Amino acid sequence: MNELGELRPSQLIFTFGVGSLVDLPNISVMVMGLNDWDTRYCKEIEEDRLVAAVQKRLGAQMKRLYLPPTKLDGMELDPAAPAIGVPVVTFPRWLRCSLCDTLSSVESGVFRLHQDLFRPDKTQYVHQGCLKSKSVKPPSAISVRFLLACREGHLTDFPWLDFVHNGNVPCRPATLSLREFGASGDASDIIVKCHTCATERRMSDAFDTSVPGGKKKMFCPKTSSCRSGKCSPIQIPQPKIGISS
Amino acid sequence: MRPGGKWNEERVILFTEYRATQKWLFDLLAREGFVADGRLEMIYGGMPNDQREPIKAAFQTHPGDSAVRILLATDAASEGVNLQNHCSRLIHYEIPWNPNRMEQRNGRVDRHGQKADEVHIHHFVGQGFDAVRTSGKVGDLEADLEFLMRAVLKVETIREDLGKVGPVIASQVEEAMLGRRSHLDTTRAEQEAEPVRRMLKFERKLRDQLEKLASQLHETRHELDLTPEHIENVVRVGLELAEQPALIPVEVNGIWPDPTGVVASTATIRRAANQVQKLFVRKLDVFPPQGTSIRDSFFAIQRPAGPEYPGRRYLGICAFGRRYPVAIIRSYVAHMAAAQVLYDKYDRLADPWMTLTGYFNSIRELAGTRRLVEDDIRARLRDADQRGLAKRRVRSLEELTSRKSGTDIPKILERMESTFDKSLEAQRAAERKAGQKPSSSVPYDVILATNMISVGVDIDRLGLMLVAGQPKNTSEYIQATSRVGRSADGPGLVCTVFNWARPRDLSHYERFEHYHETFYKHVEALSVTPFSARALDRGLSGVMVALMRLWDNHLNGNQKAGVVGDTDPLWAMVSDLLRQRAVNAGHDSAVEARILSMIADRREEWLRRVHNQKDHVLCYKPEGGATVGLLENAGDRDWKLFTCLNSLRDVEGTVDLVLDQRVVGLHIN
Repeated sequence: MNELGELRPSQLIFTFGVGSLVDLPNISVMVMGLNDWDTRYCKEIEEDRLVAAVQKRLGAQMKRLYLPPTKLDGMELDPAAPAIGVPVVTFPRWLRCSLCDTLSSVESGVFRLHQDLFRPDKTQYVHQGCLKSKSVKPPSAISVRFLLACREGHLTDFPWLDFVHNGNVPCRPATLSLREFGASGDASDIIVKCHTCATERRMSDAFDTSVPGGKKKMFCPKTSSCRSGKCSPIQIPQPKIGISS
Repeated sequence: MRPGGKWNEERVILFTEYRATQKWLFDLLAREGFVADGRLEMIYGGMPNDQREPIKAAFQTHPGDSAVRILLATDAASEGVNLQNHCSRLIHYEIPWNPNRMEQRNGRVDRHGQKADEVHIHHFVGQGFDAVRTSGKVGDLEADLEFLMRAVLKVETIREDLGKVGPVIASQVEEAMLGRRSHLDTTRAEQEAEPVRRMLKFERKLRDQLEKLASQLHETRHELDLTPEHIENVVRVGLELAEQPALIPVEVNGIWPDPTGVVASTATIRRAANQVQKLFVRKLDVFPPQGTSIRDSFFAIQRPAGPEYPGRRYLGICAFGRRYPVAIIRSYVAHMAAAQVLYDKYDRLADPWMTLTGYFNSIRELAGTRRLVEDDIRARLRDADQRGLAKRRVRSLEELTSRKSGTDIPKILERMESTFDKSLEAQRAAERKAGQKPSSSVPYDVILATNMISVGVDIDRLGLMLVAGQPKNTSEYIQATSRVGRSADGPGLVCTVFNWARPRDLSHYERFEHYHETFYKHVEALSVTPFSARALDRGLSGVMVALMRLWDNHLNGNQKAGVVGDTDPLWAMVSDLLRQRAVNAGHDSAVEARILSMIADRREEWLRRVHNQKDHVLCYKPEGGATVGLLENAGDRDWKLFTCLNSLRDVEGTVDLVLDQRVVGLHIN
């Protein structure tokens, strides 16, 4: 049971295509590439004219058109049936505890995925080991607000470890936190700190081309394969996609 | 039940109205030795289910296998319980006030499945209760019972006449029970009812008279052959003889040729005539008439805003050169912190502005802002006092969108009613400290809503709304923003945050004052496109089958789908009716051709399936066995010619999102 929510098929075409971020009520995810879709559960659209029209645009390697994966008859009632649907992945991969500001990646295991069997929309990450929390319920962990994006639209996580250590070899292990001070909400009031070596850096450094290890040092991970060659190291702070126009 | 001190196999249920009576009876019976060895059990309200069920089961088990013989029950056992298997005796310890309840109690044993030939139901009466009927002595039990009996009879009479009883008799019953009254006095009530009764009588008479006159009229008409056709003929012949021009057919709205009218409400009357023509193929009148003054048309009055009717104030913000999320964040922080200043000072008087309602044109934008409220806005509000406002803790955030499950929405709406009030806050804190459940819920600091809030949400206390971007329709904008400032306690403040990167928003910002002063006239008419190709795909089969079935009854039964013949006259009639309707609605020959060809396709398919019934029966809806259905439910399978939607509002299914927890292909630092 890994269902998270649902979308209408037309939303998958217009707003939330492959590679777009979907803000679900408690978690932010990215729609995964077509090679990860389980076409065994996809129904083929047998419409030759449409196939021909799309091939004219995209080339002959596009052979078939499918509907998104859906459950087969009877799977709805079968508790052992696998979860079928459009695959999505948690993104950004870095999360921050809403209470103690601990910053860590999904892979680290610091944050646990909390699922409600009957209410997929309540799925969220929680920080079960939060030292500040006094309640039984662990505080929620939310996606971090910064991402790297290049002009070609490639997205990647902000290089937190490299950034806070300012180009030096990162501590191993390093424990990070992301804190906000002051009322302005300016990037200079947001501080990343490595608790292992006690270094800290203001986020404003990341926007500054003149600072060593700042904007100039960040690259699109796809630079080598970026089709147009136009891909340049540009970094955009992301207070979540969505609103920025 | 215990002849010679030995229990037999009889069982009995004893009903009491009150738990106290039940306990008393229990003690009484215990003293007599009826309780030992599990012979007596009790059922009462407030008894946990896991205790109640075994007792019910034991009572239903054969007396040879289960010791229980007597069941003491309150009305908790009077509904929905089966006790009739091995029990045919029931005693009402007292008579319940509500006869319905008595009936329910009896129904526990006097019901289907009762094996005994006779069911015995007992209740107590006063000694010699027939003889003392006239004594009327206050104070003894017989007299009381007699009084109640009489009250019951009176109640019946008065209810027949008036429909209201309680207030008249209740106080007298009380007095009687206290010994202050021995006779029931309903004369006053009856006197009061007299005029009503007279009027009812008069009405009855009038109705009789009218019926008589109507039948007379009918008879006379029949004798004189006064039918409309006849009169028309006479007039036509008369005109011809007088060499005058013939009659011209006219349409009189709502009277001729179709006398049924439809009352509809609309947000705007602009192009309403056009829409009505397309959808209903009818003419239109507008009610109420506008009158001579728009400020007072008799039906509606325009009131100036003032202390009594404070209304709403609109504010537009357009932060040129700043990124839109920044503008949103600042607006939220400023409004929420400013409301907190008022709240600190004026307590619950500031309640209307303490719950900020955020309005969004799309879920995508709303979702983004939700993240902002959880993170950025929350953080900044903690330090808002540094900006001359007040610190605020965001305790509760909720959204009112289609992403929420239908079961949660009513709960959210209910909680939206809870107010900011320091005394309630203190009470909650005290209760929490004492480990009790808080008696009031924490009010929402922020409600983020899509257009779900525009319709039917009637929460008077809301007074502050932030609209993110100009909504596409003016009607939507008016609907949404009129959710705030509905009560005289809190004038509404609506703040629209425009996005300077969008030309539409910018143009709205530039005409802000004029637009808001006149925005009712900007309400756009929606376009209607009946008989469009996609609408026909979805709806035509259903309409066509319905017409064929319901025209008369020869194709009506479910199994009649398979008997329709190639030459059935209904094919042509239905086809012509639909064609005519399409022509009347749109006067478009392309639409006419399309609908005819679509009907022909459906006819062909239907008939093909009729002829194909070699080894099965064609029904409209499959009945099981060797039957197949003509119509198919949408969503089960591919869309076919006879797939029918249950509602034309159903648009599209959904696909699930599945979280992939592998890390393959993900790039991390």
